Amino acid sequence: MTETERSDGRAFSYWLGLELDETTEVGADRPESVGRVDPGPDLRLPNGQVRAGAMLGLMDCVGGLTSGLAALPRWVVSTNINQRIATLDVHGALVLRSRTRRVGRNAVVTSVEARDESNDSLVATGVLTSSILTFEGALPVGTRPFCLRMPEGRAPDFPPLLGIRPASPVSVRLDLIPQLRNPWGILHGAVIGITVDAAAVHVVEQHTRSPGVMTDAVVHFVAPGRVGPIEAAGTVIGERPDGHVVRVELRDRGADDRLLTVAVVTVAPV
Amino acid sequence: MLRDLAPVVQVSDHEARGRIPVRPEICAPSGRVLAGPVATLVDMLAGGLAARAAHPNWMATADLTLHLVERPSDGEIEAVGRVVRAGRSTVVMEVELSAGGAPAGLASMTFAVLPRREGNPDIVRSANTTDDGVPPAWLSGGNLVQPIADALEVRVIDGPAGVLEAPVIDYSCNTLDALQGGVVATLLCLAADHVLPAACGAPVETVDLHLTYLALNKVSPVRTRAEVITATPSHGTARIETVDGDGRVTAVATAVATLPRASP
Repeated sequence: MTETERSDGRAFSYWLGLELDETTEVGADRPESVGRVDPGPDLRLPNGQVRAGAMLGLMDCVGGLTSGLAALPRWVVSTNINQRIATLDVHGALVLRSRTRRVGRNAVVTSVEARDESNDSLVATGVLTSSILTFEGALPVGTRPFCLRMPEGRAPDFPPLLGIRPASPVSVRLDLIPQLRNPWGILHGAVIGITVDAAAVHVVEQHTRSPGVMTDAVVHFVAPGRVGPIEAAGTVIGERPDGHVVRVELRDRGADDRLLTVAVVTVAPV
Repeated sequence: MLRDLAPVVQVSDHEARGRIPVRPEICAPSGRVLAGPVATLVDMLAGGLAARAAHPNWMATADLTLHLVERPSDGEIEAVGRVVRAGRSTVVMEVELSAGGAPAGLASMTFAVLPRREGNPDIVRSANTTDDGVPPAWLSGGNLVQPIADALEVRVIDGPAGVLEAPVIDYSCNTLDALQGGVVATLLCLAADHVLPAACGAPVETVDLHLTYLALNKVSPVRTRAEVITATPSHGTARIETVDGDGRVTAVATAVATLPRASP
């Protein structure tokens, strides 16, 4: 990867390893797209399962492309995303198919379904809601149909788990390094999913003293992260047979503690 | 339907408080409150607050999520809503739920902000909610005398498949002559309460709902269809959609049902 590519705000997409394709005809009323990723060690837990937070990020990327295509010539910003996990045991590549469910004056709703390419089993399902906005500058899609492939060469350097580390018994922190910014220079939405995951699991493990894994999630994107460090704090709401229900809040410490994200996730015992 | 839940709702510019009594007509077979009526309380509370936050514009409900960790079998379920974000295009609400002073769950709602059109009610002025905690006339006098599913005239077409049907009737409708958002949530939860016990082989009950509204339900009958995502002896997850009488998908949702706690 060249320095130009490294600084174009797409570094994190390369870290995810996600390849994207627009699959409907250009100009379709209800666009669809597909993403494919071979989840490597960065996207997996130490036990080999796929990280649900990474899945959330992938869904945001694939659903976001579909939403943007549906909104053209305007573009979109993610408002919220929800996800249900069927299994985190993924043996082959992940294939994420997204389709447009609704295009309104101000919002687009897309659904995303992730399947394990090795056996076509359902891995996760989600719904992304995006607000339509008038975009100033070049749109993030150029040649149509849209296609994103991994560049040749060395991938950009990333700290382990993106530099997310415990900040207190109820919170984690990460620095807003350039690789974690999207093409608009703000915290990449897919990083948010991974941070929410890390914070929720951290607080539950501190609470229960036993390992946990994030499964279902609802994330509301409230404001963009611009400065950093970003701190994610979790609160255990209660416990159910499917796990602990945790509320997670992301704030930008360098921007007067601005509230960035509110999420509610389930953390199941391992 | 809202009146029959006997709600008390109090709304100010930045916060809304409300409660409904837990009575047998809105309880599941375990004796604990159904998720649907709780979602209806959330919808009522957040809707009143969103109308104020969006004023002078109008708003439309985009989605609702509900995560219950405790479901009381008596007393009241209480809710406190606040605005998380009031932007140009969306208003986001968060609603804390409690019962007997203990946390019962958390809910959220998103509303799309729309330009006000002629005919949109002025909720801030006409107030379907009040500032003093006293229910307005149209909300008072609730007297639910039959199970909520019967009051909504819900028919179970194929329970294990999660196929239920509800007519669009005055009792269930909002001011747009479409099924009220809480009624849609209730119908989806009832569908989950049929499909997931069958799939899990256990008396699981709905505790969690992610619901995205796609279109108004104006054409009868509104039917649910479901697909099981996971099923274990203690909990399960299903994807459920509503389809109106014209065959249009009007809402997409996922629900989680778990074994209820043993009664104290």
